[in-house]
This record gives sequence, structure tokens and C-alpha cells, in this order.
Amino acid sequence: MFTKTKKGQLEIGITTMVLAVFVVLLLISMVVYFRFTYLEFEDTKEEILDQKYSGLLNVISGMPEFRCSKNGAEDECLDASKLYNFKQKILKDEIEDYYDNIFGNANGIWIDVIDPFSGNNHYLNSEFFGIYGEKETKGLIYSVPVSIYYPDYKKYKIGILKIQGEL
Amino acid sequence: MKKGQAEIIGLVVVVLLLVFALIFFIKIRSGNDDNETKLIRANFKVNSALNALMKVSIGNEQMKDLIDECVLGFNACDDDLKNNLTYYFEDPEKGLFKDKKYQFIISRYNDDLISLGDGCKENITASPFVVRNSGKVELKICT
Amino acid sequence: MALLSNKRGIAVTFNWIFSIVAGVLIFSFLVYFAVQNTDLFGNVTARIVAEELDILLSGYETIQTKSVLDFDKNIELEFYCDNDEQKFKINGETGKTVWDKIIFSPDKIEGSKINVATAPWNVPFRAANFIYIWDKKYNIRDDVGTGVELINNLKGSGKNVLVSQYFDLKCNSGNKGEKVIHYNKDTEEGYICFDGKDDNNPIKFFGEAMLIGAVLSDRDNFECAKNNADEKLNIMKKVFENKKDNLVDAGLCEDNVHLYGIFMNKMNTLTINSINKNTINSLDNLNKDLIAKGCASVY
Repeated sequence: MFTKTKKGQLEIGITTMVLAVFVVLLLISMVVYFRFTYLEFEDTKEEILDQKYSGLLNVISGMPEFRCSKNGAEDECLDASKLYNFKQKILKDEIEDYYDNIFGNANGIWIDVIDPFSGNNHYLNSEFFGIYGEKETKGLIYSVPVSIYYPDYKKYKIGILKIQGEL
Repeated sequence: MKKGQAEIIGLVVVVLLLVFALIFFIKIRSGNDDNETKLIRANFKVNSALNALMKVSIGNEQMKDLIDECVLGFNACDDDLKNNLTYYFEDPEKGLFKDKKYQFIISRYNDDLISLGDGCKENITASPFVVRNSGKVELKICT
Repeated sequence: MALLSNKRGIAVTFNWIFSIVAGVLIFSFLVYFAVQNTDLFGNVTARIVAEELDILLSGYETIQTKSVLDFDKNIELEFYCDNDEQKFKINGETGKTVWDKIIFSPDKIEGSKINVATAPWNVPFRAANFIYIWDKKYNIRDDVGTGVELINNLKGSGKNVLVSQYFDLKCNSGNKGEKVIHYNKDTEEGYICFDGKDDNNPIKFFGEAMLIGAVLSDRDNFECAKNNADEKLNIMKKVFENKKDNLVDAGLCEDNVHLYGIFMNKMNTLTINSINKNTINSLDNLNKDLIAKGCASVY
């Protein structure tokens, strides 16, 4: 009788240990699994944002708001006289919301001009053109060289279109 | 009871190992799909760079006009043109490729008239700019 | 003895119950993992495809092209209007707003391959690029002879669409319930009678680019896209106002600076329902005048 009781207790003990081991293994695997899934979703989000910012460089280069033209014929360049004061004069009220939706997560979009024309303070002499947000804040910078046309001078400069955003 | 318990533990361990293996397999397989989009983006950048460079004004002319004269053989493939190109490519503050390896070649009938930068094994090439049917301007960014 | 055999029996039964319960638990756990990882119901895939399609369509927004998107498997794309915002769903997944793009398409598109094309909307400067998406062809009877290549590409067997002469906003052609587009090839003005003959509410439009959209879209989607085009037109007017200010400030056209004022006054009369060929020609001539006088053109 005494032996049978002890044997039963031993068996219960073993069963409990088995269950404990099982639960521990289960918890470890669930932690690893959810961590993995979370990292995967973060990767996907990063990839989508990365594509979005790079794609945005392409889109901005082609937007009629910035594209240069001569007598109605468009060319592969951006118009300095459209870019100057764009942020200050156009991005207001409901139009700001419109561009908030296009430019999304970007913290800043601007164009740095390489060797701008010297002179008085107007569109011909601007060292950079702010398009959206603030220049040089936080995040990675995506950039592409662009041609900038100055319609009064009928001349071109090289600019670097930059988008800064966080992933 | 003991045998059953041992079997169940064994089953759990095997299944968990299979699940992990499957997850890692899927992860590795799906990691290679973005090379094509990266190529398209790099292609867009190098083409934009070449377009901007060809259009830039040097005095009253554009870079493409100076290159035109160089290809036509009007002694224009001189230091001035080379210096301007080097400035736009390599200037430590404003150069387009100050941090990157590139190769830029102006050629006429396969003879290199101007060659800047080092050659690269693997590169992204812009669509060449054809000059007067005999000349070609090529820009490559090394990858 | 009897007591002993009962306890042994209980031990064996408990063993079986434990095994079955543990087995069921492990099995359900695995099924849950499988569903999560393989995205059996396509929810995660639909979201990712929606984001990627949005990015892809952004790429189309500023170029002129025609191509086919191949998804490798059947998808259902649904375009709809919600509070003047164009949205789309993929496989019934919650809608994604198409913020900056102007899309003309039927309400529902199904299949593994969808056609995409773009065209600029010129009034006379490019105000926007329209994106066209479709899966099926249309039975188009073109009595006007529009000569638009994309419309010729859309011809086939499918929904009936009649393109008829412009009749002062009167819907008096075709059959009741069938779409009739009235268009003047010379002035590029048109209107659509979505409900066919006797439609009391035709919708006006301007330009070849909108004519193509008229063939593809239903009333709601067309109105939505037209409102977005109107918004874009108003933004472009502000852009040119800013450009004019910058050109005037630069002072390199002092003798003829009044021409910019005349131009802007004309441009400010442009509204989506009043654009016509005369206004376009006036703007073109004023633009050319500026160039002739040695000033920078507005567009």
C-alpha cells in the first residue's frame, strides 16, 4: 500500500515535470516566433518606405508643379522660377494637406543648387529650393542629381534633389 | 506512462524544429526579390546625373556644346572641359560622385578622347549620349 | 485484486486522454502557425500589394506609357469614391486612398493581368497626368471620328459606348441606360450622358485625356476624378502665379512686365467647366507674345 502510494506520487511528479517542460518549450518557441514575425513586418515596412522615397524622387522630377518648359514644350529639367517660394506661397491651407498626403512620411524635401548664380536675393540666386518640410532634420537622405532651368537667363545649373525621411 | 511521455516530448521537439526550419527557409527565399527594384532606382540616378551634366551651362554654352566641339575635333578636349567635368564629378564638397567610384568617357569612333574615374567590374550604365553620330558620352557608376 | 486491476485500468485511460488532449493542442497550435505564416486568406498580401500598387501608380503619374501589369494570380481591384477621395480595394481589403493620382477606370477589375496607360491633360499647359486602368474592351461606336489611339485600343466586344456629336449639353442620342459621350473634336469640349437618352444630368469635360476617361468610368468615378483634376488645375494656377511673381521680381522683363498681368488675368478665368479652345488659344498667344518680346514664357 505504502509503495503504491509512493509510486503514484512519483508518476504524478513525472507527469507534472513533463507538462512543465512542454510549457517551457512552448513559451520559448512562441517568444521566438513572435519576435521573428515582428522583425519581418518591420522589414516589410522599411522596404515599402524605402521604395516609396526612391519612387518619390522620380515622381517629383516629373511633377508639372516643378517641371520646366519652353513655350509649352516640356524638357527634362526643373524650373527654378516655379521652385522658388513654392513652400512659402503654395503650401498653405488645404493645399498643404494635399501635399501632406503625397509626400507622406518625408521630413523634408529640398534641392541644393551647385554653384548658384551670384547676385540679389531672388530666384536666380537661391542656394537651395525648399519644397516640403524642413531641410536636414532626421532620417536617411535619398538624393538624385537634377537639371535646373532658369527661364530669365535661359541657362541651366545642376541641383541635387533630396528627400529626408525615417523608415 | 513514461514511454508515452517520452514520445510526446519527442514529437514536440521534432515539430518545433520543423517549424523553425520552415520559417528560416521562407525568410531566406523571400530575401532576394528586391534586386530588380534597386537596379531600376540606380539606373534612374545615373541617367538623371548624365542628363543634368549635359545640360549644365558653362558660360554662354552648355556642357553638351563643349563636348560637341571636342568630338568634332576643334581642340576643345582641353584642360578647361576636363577641369569642369572633374569639378562636377569629384569636388570634395559639391561633386556628384565625391563618395562613389565612377567612370566617364567621351569617345569618337571608339577612341577615348576624355576618360575620368576608374574602371569598375560591376556598374550601372546610363543610356549613352550620342554626339554627332560619331561621338559617344558614357557614364557608369560602380556598384 | 479487483481494486488493483481498476487502478491499472484508470492509469491506462488517463494515458490515452492525456495523449489525445496534448495531440489536439499541438495540432491546433500548428494550424494557427501555418495560417499566420502562409497568409492563407491573403490579408497581409492584399495590404502589401495595395501599397506596392500605389507606389507603382505613382511612377506612372508623370510619364506617358501603356503597359500590362501581371499579378500571376487573379485579383479583384475595386475603385470607388468616398467623400471626393478616390480609393481602391484589392480583394475586398479595406480601401487605400489614391491621394495624388487621378485614375479613370471601371468600378471593378478582375483578372491576373490589368492594362495601365497614361495621358497628359493639357489646358494648354500640362496640369496633370491621368492614369487609365482597365481589364475588358468596349463596344465603342465612334460617330465623331476622334482618332484617339487609346480609344481605338479599347475597341472590342463589351459594354456599349457611343461617341456622338456635341449637342449643347442635350442628351438626345443613343438608347436609354447606355452611356453616350458627346464630343466636339475641334474644340475638345464634351459631355457624358451616363444614363443615355434623356439623362437630365450630363457631366461636362474638356480634352482628349478626359474623353478616354469618359469611355472607361461610370458616373461616380468620373465625377471623383474630374473633381481631383479641378483641384490640380487650381494648384497649377497658383504655381504659375508664383512663377509670374518670381519672374517679375527678377526684373529682367521690365518693359513688358504688364504682359504677365494680362496672362494671369486670362489664366484665372480657367475653370474646369468653362475651359474651351478659345481660352486655350488666348493663353497660347499671350505666352508667345512674352517670348517674342524677349521675356521668359509663363509655361
